[in-house]
Amino acid sequence: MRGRTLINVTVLVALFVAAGLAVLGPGLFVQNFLSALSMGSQYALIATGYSMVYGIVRLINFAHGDVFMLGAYLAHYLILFLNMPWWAAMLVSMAATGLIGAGIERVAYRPLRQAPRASLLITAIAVSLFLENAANVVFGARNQAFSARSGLTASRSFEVFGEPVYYQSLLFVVPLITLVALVGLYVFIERSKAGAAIRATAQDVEMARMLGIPVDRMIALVFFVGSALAAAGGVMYSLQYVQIHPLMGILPGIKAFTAAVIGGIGSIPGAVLGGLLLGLAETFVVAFFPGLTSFQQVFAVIVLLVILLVRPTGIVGEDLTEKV
Amino acid sequence: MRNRLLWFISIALIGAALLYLERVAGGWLLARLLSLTAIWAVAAVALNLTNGTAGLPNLGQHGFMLVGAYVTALLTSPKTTAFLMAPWAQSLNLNWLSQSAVVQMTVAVLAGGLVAALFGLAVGIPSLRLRGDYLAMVTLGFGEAIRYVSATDQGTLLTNGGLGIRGVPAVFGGPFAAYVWLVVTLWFLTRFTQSSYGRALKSIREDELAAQAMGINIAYHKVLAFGISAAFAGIAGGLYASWLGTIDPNTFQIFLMTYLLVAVSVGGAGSNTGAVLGTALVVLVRQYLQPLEQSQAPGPLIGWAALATAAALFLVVAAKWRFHKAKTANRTFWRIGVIGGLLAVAGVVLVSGAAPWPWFEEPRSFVGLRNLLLGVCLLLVMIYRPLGALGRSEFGWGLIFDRKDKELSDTERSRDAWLTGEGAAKKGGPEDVSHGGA
Repeated sequence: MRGRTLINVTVLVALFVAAGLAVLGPGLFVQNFLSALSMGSQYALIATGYSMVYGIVRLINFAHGDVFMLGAYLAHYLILFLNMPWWAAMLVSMAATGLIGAGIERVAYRPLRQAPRASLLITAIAVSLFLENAANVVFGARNQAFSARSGLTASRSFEVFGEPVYYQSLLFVVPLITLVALVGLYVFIERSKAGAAIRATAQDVEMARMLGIPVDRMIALVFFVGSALAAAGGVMYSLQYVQIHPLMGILPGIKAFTAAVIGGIGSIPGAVLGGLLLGLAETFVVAFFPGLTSFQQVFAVIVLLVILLVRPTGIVGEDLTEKV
Repeated sequence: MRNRLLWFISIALIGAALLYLERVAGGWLLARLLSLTAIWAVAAVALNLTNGTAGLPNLGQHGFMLVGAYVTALLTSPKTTAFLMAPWAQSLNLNWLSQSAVVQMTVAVLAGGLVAALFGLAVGIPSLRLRGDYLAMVTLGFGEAIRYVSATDQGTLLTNGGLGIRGVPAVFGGPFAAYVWLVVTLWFLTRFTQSSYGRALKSIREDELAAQAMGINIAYHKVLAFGISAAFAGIAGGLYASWLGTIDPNTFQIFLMTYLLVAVSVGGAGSNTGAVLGTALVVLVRQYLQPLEQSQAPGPLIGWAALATAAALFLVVAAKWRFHKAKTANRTFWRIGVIGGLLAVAGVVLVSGAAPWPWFEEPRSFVGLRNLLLGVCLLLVMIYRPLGALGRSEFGWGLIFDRKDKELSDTERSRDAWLTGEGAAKKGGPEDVSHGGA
């Protein structure tokens, strides 16, 4: 089975590359591929947070997109008021946003630990409403230009087979940061003691509690890590798209959720894979069919519907059927 | 029988009063607010069918309202400023049908409901096979996507983009007309909820597997409920367009959905009358807290907020002290007391204007504060009273005449286990998935 999957994937990738080269030519293909990679890795970062939280408390954290927005705003003000370089602002913002995420869990989700899913869902919406409007009140409702000044967004070019490829250094930096963050996450989850405790909690809350694992603290930790990753995603997103506003998190949130579902919600590698695939799909659909440009932003919703129709468990997802 | 008679009489009386109000003072703020309440209540009661009765979390009500509103506007507006629209869209009208504005508007609103229902089915069918969370996210995505598409270049051909469609006739904008629609909606949806369909939906909400074992066609009932809800949301959208006169994509932001969600959750999950009362509350809050968002010095505002929070905390402490069996001051107790005390001190300092920073003095606007308060309100309701004000019961004459109705029977209490979590608590932990796809 594994061998056949490998062959299928190789054939698909080869077809994709061949089609890309034939339709777009090497220059445009590489250019699109770079931006797809960058976009996909941002989705991967946000989707990882969704998936981790879902894995441990079985809750779709609707406020995740708004946490992403908070991360961007915190970095914006850190750069504006303290003149930090963007990477330092990103690190501080990650830590602060992580704390906010854990705080949200403490205030809003923990009292409902035993409550049914319907209440939890509505609570998550309430948190989202709260965060969006808190941002409206505190930061102002208007669009702001992200305050980072870096050479990352300057347009440069190199040549592939004689064709120029235009790019920004950002397109390399974003996947690199994502890679570092995800490798760090992997080591943390798989190698550290806290990571083992998190995995145990995700597997069976009651059993973990009986074994003496501080379950509530582990859940808070997951919210911290997920929110910090979302903040990193938010900063990089704002570096790329420059404009920030209090509702900026909604659409990336939905897309990242789509990415998590593509990969199979609850699985971290799945979320990463899903994010990259969604980034590729979004970019190349527009590259192949320029007429669809204005639908790029909503493409994810259609993908989500199709995935739910065809393979709701995603690529590496858990079994969704209910046991009695 | 007596209750039914009383209902008829009160409906007629309210209708007559609204008709009088509309004739005498259709433009008054009161009339506008009453009709807005009725229109949003149509959408809220529809939302209640999915979220409350059927237990399907639907977060796309603003998207369905948008669809209904645009269909209505396209069919009835004269479109004199529709520069961006495609020619065929500009030429849409209902003059061939009838010259009567009321007939045209009715047909247009119903058409809006129909189209919204079709969208509802397209979104619902893939996700209804799965657990509720997916439906929630897909509908939320739909609501955002449809607004986004309606503002894109292609969407503009139909919607006139950011310029919006102007001059939608105000036929159903008055309190009486909106009230008639609300009564029809309430009548239909209450009958539906009490029918075999409604009972099937409730059984699906409580235990999907058991319902399936009883021979209920789960997918059919879910899709039906979702489609009907979307249809009434579309109708509400058409009425809203009539109330506003001008619509553009930004009319249907995600906040519109959250107002409806607050209305349903606060009023009572599964109670239609509760949804109407909740809508009235939301409209009142949005109208009468408007001064809070106007430009003012932040200091006193934050100060009063801190004082109010401190007062609430002290009330909680006092109530706990009074009614708690063991009168020992435990850690939570002290914690709340200390936080409340600090808040009170900060509040006094800020209100008195003694705070040293100039930031507290400079006037600024507080756009979003009302929605923030609604968010807090929703959060508190979900944590402390997840069933909302009325719970599952309907507001009715029974409440006044038959005191016994207020006491829940054991059956009813167990019926609410789905929402209050008693059942889940017994079965143990968040692992226990109470309703899942099969």
